[in-house]
Amino acid sequence: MEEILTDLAHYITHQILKTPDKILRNDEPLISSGIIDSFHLIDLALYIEDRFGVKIEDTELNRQTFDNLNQLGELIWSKTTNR
Amino acid sequence: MTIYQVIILVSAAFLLGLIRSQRLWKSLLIFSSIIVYYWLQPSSSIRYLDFWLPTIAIILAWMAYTGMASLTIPTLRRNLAELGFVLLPTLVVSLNRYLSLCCVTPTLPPSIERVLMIIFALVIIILLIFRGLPEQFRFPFSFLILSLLFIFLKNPYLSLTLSRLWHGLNHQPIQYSLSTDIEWLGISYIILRIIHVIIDVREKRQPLPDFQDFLLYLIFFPALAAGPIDLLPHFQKEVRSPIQSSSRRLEGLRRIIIGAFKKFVLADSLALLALSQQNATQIVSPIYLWLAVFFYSLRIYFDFSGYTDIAIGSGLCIGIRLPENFSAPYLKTNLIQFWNSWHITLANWFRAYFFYPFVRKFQRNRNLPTWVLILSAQVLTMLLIGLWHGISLNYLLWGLWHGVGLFINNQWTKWTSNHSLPILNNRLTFLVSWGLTFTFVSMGWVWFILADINTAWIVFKHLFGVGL
Repeated sequence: MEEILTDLAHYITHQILKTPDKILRNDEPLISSGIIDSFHLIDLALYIEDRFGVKIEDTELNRQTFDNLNQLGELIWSKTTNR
Repeated sequence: MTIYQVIILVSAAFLLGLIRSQRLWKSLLIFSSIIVYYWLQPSSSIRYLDFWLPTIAIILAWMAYTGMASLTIPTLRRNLAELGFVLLPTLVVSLNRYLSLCCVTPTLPPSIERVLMIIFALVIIILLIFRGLPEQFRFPFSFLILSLLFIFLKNPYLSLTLSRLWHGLNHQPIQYSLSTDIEWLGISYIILRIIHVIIDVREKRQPLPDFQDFLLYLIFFPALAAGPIDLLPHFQKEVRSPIQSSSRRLEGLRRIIIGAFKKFVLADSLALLALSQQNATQIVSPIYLWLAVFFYSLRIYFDFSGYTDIAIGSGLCIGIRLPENFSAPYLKTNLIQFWNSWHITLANWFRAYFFYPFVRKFQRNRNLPTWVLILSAQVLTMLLIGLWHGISLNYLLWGLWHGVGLFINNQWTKWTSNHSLPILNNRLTFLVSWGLTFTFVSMGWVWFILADINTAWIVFKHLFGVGL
């Protein structure tokens, strides 16, 4: 789980926000705070699908399903273990 | 909805929340949702329409459901039995023709033999069509019927044609037909909910629900008239394990009181001062016109979020938590944040079923320049949201207004993140951003309120002191 979170945090800070120096907390709101917009969410979903081999459904790309790294990590974890 | 109707609905919700037997609770919830649908459906100059519209909504739901299910004899028999069960309240309502009890339906329903005959005919027609269609065409068929129905109801010209046709079928004079005759309670929400389920079942994102769960999800009475649009898996989870505690009921009552205050005190008072179809060209002073526009912004927010509070509060009293639909939208400092907090469940629906699939398709292939993809995705999504409110030029322009606004917002955010400007982090910038966002959204409402584009254009000119 910790590896998933580190990987996601690295992708978000380096590829999406383009601020490698930023330290992203695991409980920091991503969608509701506006850090990640709808287009970035698609980039993130495509990255997760390629990197972890799990499908993130379009109906899951909202802050009700996940709004921080912890929740996103749990979603990926539950999908990988249920495969 | 009047305050008396709200009081009755809230009382029904409260009583339902006291029922401990899960089976009885669910059956009564379905029955009361159906009865409430007939009760709330507005009357019309078209005879029996207030009875037929809820009935057709149930048949449409059954059509969509049958299109998803297998057509083997045992499954079909079970589906027909479930339809019979949910039509019991319909037959009870139609008995009111002979009992003449007040308030059950706005006008007396048609005779029971006619009701049975037409329902039977509709069911047979649907079954014959589905039996004749290859399995892969059943989904497109349901989708096509729902889309055509939506287009006919939401376009004033087509709605007038439909009204004339219905008047003619009833042997009523067609010259009195109006485009507003067919006012079908909750149908825009019901259609979105049905499309969500048939797409997800087809894509195997969720299993086929049972018909009663499906129908309850579509017409759950607190969310029937104005949402929110829950997703079926979440709704089913709530129905399977409702939380009927006194603390939830208290939370629900608090939300209902706040909602009623927003709707019946704030929104209805602001309506006297807000811009409307009637006063749009009478106010010529730019200052008063700006005030009227801002009052409308507040009015529509308090009205809509008030209804949502009442819906969520009633849901809580019953034991079901509906999703939130608003999150302080007018306090946001950019348009992207506004659309993340205004009518959240509708925006999420269009993101899930149009925006994300559209962007995914082109982003994966990288066959469009990024800015073209962003512009087209934002504009097309907002045009669709506009057209969902009504298929006419003013809603199209309202959608375009927001689509272009979102694109500009997106490009500005990108530009500022690439050029770290110190000026962007102070309090003045915050206030200016908030003011610009609120003003932009408020100006957008001018397209929304005024069906006539020329009147909207005059209002825009008057706002800036032109053409006085």
